[in-house]
Amino acid sequence: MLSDIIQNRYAVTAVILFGIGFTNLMLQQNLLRKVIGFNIMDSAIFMLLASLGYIDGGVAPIVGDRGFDPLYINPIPSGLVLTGIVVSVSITAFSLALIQRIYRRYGTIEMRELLDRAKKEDD
Amino acid sequence: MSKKIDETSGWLQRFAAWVDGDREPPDRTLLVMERRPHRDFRPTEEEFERREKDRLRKFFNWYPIAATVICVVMAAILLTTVMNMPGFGDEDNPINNEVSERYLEHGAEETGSENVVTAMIIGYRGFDTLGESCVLFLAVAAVMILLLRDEKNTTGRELHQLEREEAGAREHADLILQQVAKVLTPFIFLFAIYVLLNGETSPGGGFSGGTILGAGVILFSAAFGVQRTQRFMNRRTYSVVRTFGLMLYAVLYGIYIFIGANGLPNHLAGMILLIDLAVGLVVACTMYGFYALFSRGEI
Amino acid sequence: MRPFIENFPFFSIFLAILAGILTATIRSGRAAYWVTIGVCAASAVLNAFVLEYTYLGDLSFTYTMGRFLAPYGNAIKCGPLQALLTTVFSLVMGTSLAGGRRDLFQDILPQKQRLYFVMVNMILASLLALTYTNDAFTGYVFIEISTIAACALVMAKDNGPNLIATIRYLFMSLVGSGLFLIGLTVLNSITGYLLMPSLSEAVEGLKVTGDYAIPLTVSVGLITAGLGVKSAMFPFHLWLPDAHGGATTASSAILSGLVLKGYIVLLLLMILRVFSLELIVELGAADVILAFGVLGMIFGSLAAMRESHIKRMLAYSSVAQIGYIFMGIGLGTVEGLVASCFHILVHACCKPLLFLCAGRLSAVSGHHKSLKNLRGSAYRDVGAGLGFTVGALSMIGIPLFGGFVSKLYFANASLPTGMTAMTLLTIALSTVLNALYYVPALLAIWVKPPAEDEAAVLADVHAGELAFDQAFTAADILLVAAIFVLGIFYHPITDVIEAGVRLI
Repeated sequence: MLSDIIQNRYAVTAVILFGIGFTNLMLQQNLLRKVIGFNIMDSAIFMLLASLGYIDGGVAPIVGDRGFDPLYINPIPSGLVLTGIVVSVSITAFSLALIQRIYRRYGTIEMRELLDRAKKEDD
Repeated sequence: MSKKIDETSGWLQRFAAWVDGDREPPDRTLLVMERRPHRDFRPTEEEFERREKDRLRKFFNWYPIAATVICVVMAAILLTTVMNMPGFGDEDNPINNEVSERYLEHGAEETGSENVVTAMIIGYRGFDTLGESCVLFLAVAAVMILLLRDEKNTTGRELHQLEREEAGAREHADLILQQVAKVLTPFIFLFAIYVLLNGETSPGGGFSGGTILGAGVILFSAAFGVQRTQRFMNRRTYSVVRTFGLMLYAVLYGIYIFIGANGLPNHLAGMILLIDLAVGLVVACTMYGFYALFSRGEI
Repeated sequence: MRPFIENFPFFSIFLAILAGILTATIRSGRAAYWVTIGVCAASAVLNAFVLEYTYLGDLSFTYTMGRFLAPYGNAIKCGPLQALLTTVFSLVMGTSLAGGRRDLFQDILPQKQRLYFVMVNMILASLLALTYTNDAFTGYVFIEISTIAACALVMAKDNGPNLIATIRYLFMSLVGSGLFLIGLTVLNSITGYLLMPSLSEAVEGLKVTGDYAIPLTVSVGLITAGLGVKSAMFPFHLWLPDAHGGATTASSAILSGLVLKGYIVLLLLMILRVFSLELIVELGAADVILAFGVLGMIFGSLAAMRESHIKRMLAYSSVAQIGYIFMGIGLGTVEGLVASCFHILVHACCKPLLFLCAGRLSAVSGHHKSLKNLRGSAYRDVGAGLGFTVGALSMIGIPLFGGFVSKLYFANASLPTGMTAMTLLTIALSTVLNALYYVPALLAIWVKPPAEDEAAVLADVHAGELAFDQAFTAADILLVAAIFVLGIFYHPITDVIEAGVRLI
């Protein structure tokens, strides 16, 4: 059990982080904290992905002519992480813009209060 | 609407009353609907509000419990999963299969990029990367919908305040920031171009280079104010550059796909460099766009 | 050298992407509107050709997106089912825009209209890509595109409750895509592939050797849950009524009719191409989907009965209809999937029609949306009234209308399974519940209110609203025709679907 955890330490950490982020995203009432929760969650996934591609003793996959043939790490997860980061940046910006507008309109970013007020305005 | 329905009213009216939820004496109706709880379309204002509040309170009572349960279960499941996943750093893991081998061994000759990650994201899996650039493009467009100043999201007072702040910033320019920016900005641009152009042979490429380029523009704009930035980056240039970047990427990659899928001879040897440039433009514009929209609501 | 027609799916995807980029530069909203309509029409035509080609040739083909064959480079795969779905999606997209045109130009500020059309084009691109993709990670990227674009469609109207609905929608979507991504990561770590055919082989191998059984199960669960959250599967539907009910008419139609379907189609592809139906049944995932589907059918309808706001009522009804689709998937048989696909088509035609008509009816009633203020509105625009009636009757499941056929197929599909009694009873119950809220709505719009009430409502109406709306009427007629075609000439369509599922 313990050796399993140590063996997969990055994955375990990533999953714990994912849990923290997920909990924040679901349970926080403050919109900004929800966004931060989402960012933790996504970073955890990137960490998991990056750890999957690692090979013990591997070097970055840039295949120049170095005179010897080193062991390279797996390039695929790195590429996927890149994609994931871009997506998460975009979504973070979008949600922050939304929150800014909501704050300007209602003066609060507590979910509960917002729901309370939105109901009243509905036709 | 609580009109009394008299005995002689026609079926049409009675239907209407049923729709309204206006109740008739139950013995006169044949409709099963009447057995349902009273469907009142027009509760009084306070009652409606109270009911809504009640529902909301109930919702907020059970929601945390349900969410906590889901989170705990989720974490437990995921922990069990990773315990059973392939070990860290092992060369024999299923993920290290013929695909990554081919990328590593033939990536350089097949795509012309020694950096295998670049080769993968632009050569082998370029369609994903195109989608990703579209995500960036869309994010800016969405933030524009939200924050670009218009009569709905800005009052005259806010506009006035913004102008005052800008005038204040012009008068009391930050000397340290300006001097540092004067020295740093050229180097940042230079570095950005270096990273942008060397994505094929070293760590870097469109995404990292573009971000640095964007950071340079942001620094310049923060130090010297809107007016001077707008000399080279007004709304028109901005949208032209942004659109041009993504357009270039989409068209180039479209041709590339068409050629590849139809087995035509490939004349797009320098494609990766061009695409890296295009991605760089898109990313730089995105970064600067976010900054400008969030700080001023203008580009 | 492949036949030229095999390029068409790729052309339609790129056409939509390019149009999305171009519309960002067009100044006038009207011009952007016409470009978007043109793209929808062109994409429908292209995909219709592909449909003819694949169905008559009884084939499906893989198209490499680049120079590298699977499993090295991206690919799309096209068969009759995908071609049929994309044709319908493109058509309905164009019709929804046309039908909601007047509201759209009123609700959105002139300088931001072009951005709205950017979003619409990108949603079209992502729908096409999600349907055609043969690569799980491309699926993820386009899921995110459609998330951002869909949220932007919701908030385009830009009033307070709308923004709050958008942020709820966004957070729920983020949960969904996070789950999908981590599920995909786990799957990738135990198989090493991202292309669906190679994934399928690897999963087959794992099934035989029994290695990594837990991660495989979990990844099936996570991917299903992620896509389920995004397509408003029952317990995760709470964001939907506000988001779909509050948006502008065209947005509601597109979101309810199409965007939800994109995720379901991707789920179908993952189930059929990667995991295989047997595995889903064996792992019990099918039963879970079935249970959620059935619960969604009932609770969605129950919630809709409580609503008096017409668009929110329709939105809750979407929850119920999505429940039908998941029920079909959960039966775990090919017949169930065929019924689900048919229901996707029916709902993709029905719900936009209902939303468009509701939007039009509320426009001729001073933009009031509660049923009590819509009374007699059908007489102010008879076309909208008739359209709403057809849509509602189809939802209830009256013969000759599309909804009846899909219920028939669901019932048929449930017969050989062990769940017959429960499924049939749920369909019956759900039909009754549907009738219980659609019939009052129908009566409300067709029964004239007392004169003084009508006068009060009419006082809020702008004179321009009552004028004949050509674009709406055209859209109305087209969608009504589609529902009748689905309800009467359904045999050719189910043949195409069956061939498509076989060749997927």
